[in-house]
Amino acid sequence: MPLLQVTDLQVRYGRILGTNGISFSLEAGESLALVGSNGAGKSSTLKAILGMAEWPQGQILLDGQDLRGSKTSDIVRQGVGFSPEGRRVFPMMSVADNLRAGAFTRPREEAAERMEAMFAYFPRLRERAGQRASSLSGGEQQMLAIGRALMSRPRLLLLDEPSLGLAPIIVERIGEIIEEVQRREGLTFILAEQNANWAMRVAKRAVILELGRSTIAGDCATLLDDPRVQNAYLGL
Amino acid sequence: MTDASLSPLALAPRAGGRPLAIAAAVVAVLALVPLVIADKFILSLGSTVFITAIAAASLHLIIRTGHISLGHAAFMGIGAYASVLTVMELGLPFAAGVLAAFVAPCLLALAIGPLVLRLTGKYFVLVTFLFGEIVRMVFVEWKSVTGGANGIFGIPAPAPVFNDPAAYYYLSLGAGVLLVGFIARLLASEVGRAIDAVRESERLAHCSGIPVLRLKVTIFALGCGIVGIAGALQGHFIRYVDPTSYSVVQSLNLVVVNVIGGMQTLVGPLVGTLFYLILPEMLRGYVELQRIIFGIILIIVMAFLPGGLVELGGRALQLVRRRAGS
Repeated sequence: MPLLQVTDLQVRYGRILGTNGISFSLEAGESLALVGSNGAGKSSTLKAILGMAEWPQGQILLDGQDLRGSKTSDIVRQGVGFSPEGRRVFPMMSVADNLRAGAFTRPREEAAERMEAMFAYFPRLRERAGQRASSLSGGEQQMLAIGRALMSRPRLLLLDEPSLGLAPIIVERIGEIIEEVQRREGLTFILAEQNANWAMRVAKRAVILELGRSTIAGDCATLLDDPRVQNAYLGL
Repeated sequence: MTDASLSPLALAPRAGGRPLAIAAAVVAVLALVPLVIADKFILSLGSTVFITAIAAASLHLIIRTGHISLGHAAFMGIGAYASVLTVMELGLPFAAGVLAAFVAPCLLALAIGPLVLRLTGKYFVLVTFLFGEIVRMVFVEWKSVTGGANGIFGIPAPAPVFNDPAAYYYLSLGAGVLLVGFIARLLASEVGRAIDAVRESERLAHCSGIPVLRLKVTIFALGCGIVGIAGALQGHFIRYVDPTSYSVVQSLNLVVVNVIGGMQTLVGPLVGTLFYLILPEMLRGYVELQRIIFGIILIIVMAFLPGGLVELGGRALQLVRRRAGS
């Protein structure tokens, strides 16, 4: 049974369609890149999985269980972590408190242990533990946002545009850390990205979204050589 | 690392460590006051300070979730009337009155919370303002129960011994330590962190798995219940309740106390209470200027000290340390 199965997903914001027919599935331990341009439906898909957007049509199964009607707090409890777009952090709270807030759904003993793990993945955050999150650089804030999402020890991590507005060297570093977390914790993740080239090197499989639909899907290695993908997304 | 980059919340009082020692020292000094000063006026002022401090701290708890309520005095009034009626009409002991003073506003807050706490910013302020007015009008119009605009006279002390101002001083000090201490513990806990997270970014708190609305409603109800107890203590202290004591003006005063003291830490409303109640006493000689001086101070604080008087104290402390260090 796949960890996550999304079938013919239609997300709506009032009368506006967020997505219109997205399907993919993900086994535990796998990684998936959701690639597409602005407005292709990447964020809408992630929000729907987390119960933060309305989806009148389609089906989302987590461990075979229908997520329709589930509350976000319950979905997080079931092991879904989310790092939203735009390096969102709690600006006036310290780095350590930002991380602790991410462990709200977990027992307190675990939070301290998880924080050590985060400091091992992101040594810069340990140096800045007592500082306000707003005083961090863009790259550090993105690392904190990912760290916060990882604090709940998610089985499935949803990453929304972590590369946005960051220097290439920082983006590479973030990719390495995501891969390291996957190796150590058996993390399953979905990476929603406009930066197709990078996302398809970090994830193993990819689904290409166009105008709210999933069009092409496959192994990243294959897709990187596919002329249709090269033309549209890799600028080759 | 510069001091300015430190999170102000990291400086918030935490249970344990030095802040606890400072709090214990302050309480010890306050407990000694009646032994040294027998002045009835000073002791009564002390009781008023403690009761207002409880009310201001309970509003601080709600403010920490990011919602400034302009109806807080209404809940205080509901607590006061609930306790007074329980004691005088039902003939039950003061303890039952205090229980009613907590439960009645708490239940009302649980009923309206899920609706009003969906609103944010100025909309929440406006709705709570209207709510406060509605409650005041109920106090005025429901004459058979509340005594209408005349209020209720001849409220008994919690027990005969509390006719002594020193005894009431200790009663309100004890209640203040218990209730403010409880709020401090709550804010220093995981729940406190979740409260801060909700204020900083509701959406982000939401995706961290924090049940935002449920948390806000619970904290709102708790804050309203605690201010209800403050209302009971006040009613049985002044021996008189009437609608004007719990009008929107009083709600505004509680907000002002929080703004002047500082809204980022629990110390803020405590310092604000002291300032708000002691300063007018010191300006007794200039009755006609009191309001003007107070207004000017308020404007200065809002313009230059977003963190309130607590921030001023913090800056002074930094300056002293830097001098001592160099």
